[in-house]
Amino acid sequence: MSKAFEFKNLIKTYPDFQLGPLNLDLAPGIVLGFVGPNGSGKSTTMHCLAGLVRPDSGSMEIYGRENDLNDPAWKFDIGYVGDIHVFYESWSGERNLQFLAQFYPNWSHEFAAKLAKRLDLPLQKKAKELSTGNRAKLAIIAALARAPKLLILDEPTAGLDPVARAEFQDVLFELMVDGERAIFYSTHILPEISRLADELAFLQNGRIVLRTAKDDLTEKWRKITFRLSRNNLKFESVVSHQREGNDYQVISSDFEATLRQLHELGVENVQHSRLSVDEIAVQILKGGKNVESA
Amino acid sequence: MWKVLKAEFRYHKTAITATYAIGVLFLIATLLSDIMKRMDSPMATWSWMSVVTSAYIFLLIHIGSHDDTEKRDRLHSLLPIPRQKLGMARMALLLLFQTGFGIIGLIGVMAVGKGLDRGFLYYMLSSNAFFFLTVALIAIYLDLGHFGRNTYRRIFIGLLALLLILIICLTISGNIISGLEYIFEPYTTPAGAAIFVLLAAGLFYLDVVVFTRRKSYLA
Repeated sequence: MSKAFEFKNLIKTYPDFQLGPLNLDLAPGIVLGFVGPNGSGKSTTMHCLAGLVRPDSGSMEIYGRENDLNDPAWKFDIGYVGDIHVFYESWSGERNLQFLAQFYPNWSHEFAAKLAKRLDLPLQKKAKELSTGNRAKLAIIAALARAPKLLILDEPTAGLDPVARAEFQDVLFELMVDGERAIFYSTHILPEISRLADELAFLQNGRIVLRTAKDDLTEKWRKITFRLSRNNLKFESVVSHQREGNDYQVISSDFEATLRQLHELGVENVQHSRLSVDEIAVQILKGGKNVESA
Repeated sequence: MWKVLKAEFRYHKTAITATYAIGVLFLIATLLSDIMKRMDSPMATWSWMSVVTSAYIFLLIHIGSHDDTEKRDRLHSLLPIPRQKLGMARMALLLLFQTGFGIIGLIGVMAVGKGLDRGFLYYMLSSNAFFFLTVALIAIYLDLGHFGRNTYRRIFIGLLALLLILIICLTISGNIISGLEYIFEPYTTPAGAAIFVLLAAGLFYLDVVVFTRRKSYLA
């Protein structure tokens, strides 16, 4: 089966920033969280994928079709919620949806109406009269009503209230039930994606520093505390460490390997605890050493 | 492409209707007033046409500013439409507006009667093509701003500046032929009209090419 998308050596250069070379793919049925600090290149990647920005080099495929701007059949397969939401501002939300519907054969008016009700969006209001949150809702409905096989979501819940955010997450869960769709979800709000994502890709300075299954991440990464009197030791898989006297507190990206080494050193009273995805992400994006693809 | 064009017409229908109404109302007012008695008819037609042209420019600015503020290129670029067709739709929209005003102008000339000779028809064709050509130049300049660097824009401005300098030099030298006459004399000839139409068509195509090759459609 074709991959939902695949980048090969994708490069996009700006005067003060370079994205890539980026090699990334996503299998159908998977939610990939795309995590990185502001300015790391998340939106640029999304823009390239949606056809809004032309990369300098490299290739992109969506469900086996080349991302060709003059042969946009691949666009039937994607739904995109961008960092900003563009509409015909003097038209109502409903009219904007009607405009979009004519381009997508799989568009469901019924789904759009139901989702608008569920998200409590007043479709009769003009787009320019909608609040930031309601504009995001309209963009989400527009992206989902076309029944896309790949959802590209760039900070989609920015401006949404907690209730609408939770509702949106539920909708995404429901969409993923059939196992055929894929979601590429960019955010820097980790708790938002940690519930939904199957895999996480961490982007920093335009490069992927880690791509891993979320469960592997939370399973392998641990905070370990122990006492040791020896100096100048290099610990296995330790991303960061703090030391006060003989008390160590380390963050390990593979706690079993670190524990093994500690046992070999005869260290006792070793304690370890799980880290949240948020805490792990901070460690990774702070540029912790020994971060490798799991 | 047609769906986008239809949407644009519907979206801007108030502005379009108002602008065309201004053209028609001023035409009627010109025909009914005694300006016709005081001026020769081509003069009256030109006075009326200057009002229509101003209204048309206002319409273009109105639509252009809306499209810019609302990031219309970005909205349309997300649709499953070949980029080339999208580029054609943008220019076709301008061409349709221009044609509409050309037709109103023609009706105006016919209504005035005396001004309708073959030379004037060529003049109408040339001036409409020249106006469209100018709008196409502006569109190309704006699209060149989405190439990530200003080199192309600089080359474009450089070429325009060279052309302008050439016209000024010809005008100042005066001993051969006035630069402006050199430019505008062909207006009333079939060959001149054909050149202007071909130039306009060429720039139409060029903007489609430039739009298609843009590096970014975020704006």
